[in-house]
Amino acid sequence: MDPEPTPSPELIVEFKTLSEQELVKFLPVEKKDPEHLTPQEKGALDELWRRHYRELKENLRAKTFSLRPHEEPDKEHFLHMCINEAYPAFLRRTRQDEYKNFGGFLFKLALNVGLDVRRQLTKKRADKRSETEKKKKPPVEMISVDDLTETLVDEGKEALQIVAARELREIVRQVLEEHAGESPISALSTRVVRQKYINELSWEQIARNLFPEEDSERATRDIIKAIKTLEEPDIRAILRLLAYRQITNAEAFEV
Amino acid sequence: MSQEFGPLTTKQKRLLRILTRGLKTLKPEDLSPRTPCPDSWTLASYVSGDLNQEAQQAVNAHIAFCDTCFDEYAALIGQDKLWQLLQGERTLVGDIAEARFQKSMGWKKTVANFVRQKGQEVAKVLEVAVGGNTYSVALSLEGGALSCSVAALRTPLKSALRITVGSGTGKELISTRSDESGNSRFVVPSAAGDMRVLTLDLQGIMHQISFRIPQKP
Repeated sequence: MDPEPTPSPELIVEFKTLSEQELVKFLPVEKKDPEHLTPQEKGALDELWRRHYRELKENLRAKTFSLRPHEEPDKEHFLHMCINEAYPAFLRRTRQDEYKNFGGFLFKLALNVGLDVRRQLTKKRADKRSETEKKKKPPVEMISVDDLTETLVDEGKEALQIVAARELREIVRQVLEEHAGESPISALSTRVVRQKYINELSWEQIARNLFPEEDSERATRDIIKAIKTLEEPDIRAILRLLAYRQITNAEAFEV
Repeated sequence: MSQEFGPLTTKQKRLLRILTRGLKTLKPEDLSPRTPCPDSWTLASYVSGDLNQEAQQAVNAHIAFCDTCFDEYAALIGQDKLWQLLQGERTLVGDIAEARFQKSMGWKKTVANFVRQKGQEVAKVLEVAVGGNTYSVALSLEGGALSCSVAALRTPLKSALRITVGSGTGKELISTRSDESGNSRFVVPSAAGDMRVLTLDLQGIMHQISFRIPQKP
């Protein structure tokens, strides 16, 4: 059953006759917890919910396919969970200001609710998994805080070289972070760099991480080709960011 | 794509080889997220384009280093949009080609952000530092004319910018002033293949961007 609101009869009579602009005047100015809403605010919100419920449901339905995690095999059940979450979220989030672009607000609310439900489902699964793992795992070997791994890795290097190498690793990190911050596509390409060089994934694995086979009909070779086209602009951008830090010579990395 | 990028110089190639080697020496913790994961409302606002630029950059940087958040972002936009993002970038790179960079005059960075919008053929957004101020310069083609929109990003120095656009031969085509905050928008008649030089002048500190109007995409 969808949670269609059932406000008290007197509120239906009062708010049903009002235009949307008149209803908006009753909405809270600031975001409020639902339990702190006044009867007028609650009544206006319920009436707006009733009027826009179909639109919100359609927004949620449209996002169900991509947002539903593998942990939830039933699409309709996932949609139903989202709708259940949507009503309290609507009460909590809706305020006068949002009415300026109410369609956009409802879309964003659908994304927010869908993501919250997805997080609940994936977290439950992860918690369950970690509990099982805890039971199965042998006792964890305690490692001293004076772990010598770093020292062993740096063995044979001069102190200055160690410091320089660490500083350069930090610079590379900063440059990648700055590049990633420029746009979603830069974020995507930085992720590819990370997976390629740090996680040492193959192009095929990177492609399939991005477009999992069970969800996508796209050919792996097409995905790889598309990903590889990011490389050239990436190189230019990273070289430019390094140049901005006065690193224009390979010797800077030779420590 | 080839019109966008000239060949790498030997020096750059060498730097690149070393950089690649340097990347391999990074440890997983060097590339783990350093900011907390955005809450679901922030991520939803990011996808629907409701975040301010600073917050947007923070989320961009976070999802690059956090697999969980990237997966959530991908789930929010859906596979078709993700594919469009990849494809769009590939087909649009080079539509407005930068002819050269003038590092000495204060280039900070170029935001490789190409978008196709309703009513516009292509657009390129650059982030430009002039003195201590930073501006966003959006160049787009609209019905055979070049539309230029300058918007202030960070402007500790509140002063109007003098903006001129010249042809490749140095002839001044338009000269205008931004408002005190640094915002301005104007249109310059331009044809495919024309060379244009955009100059931003902040109290005598000049910054030039040269570019060629692309052929029809």
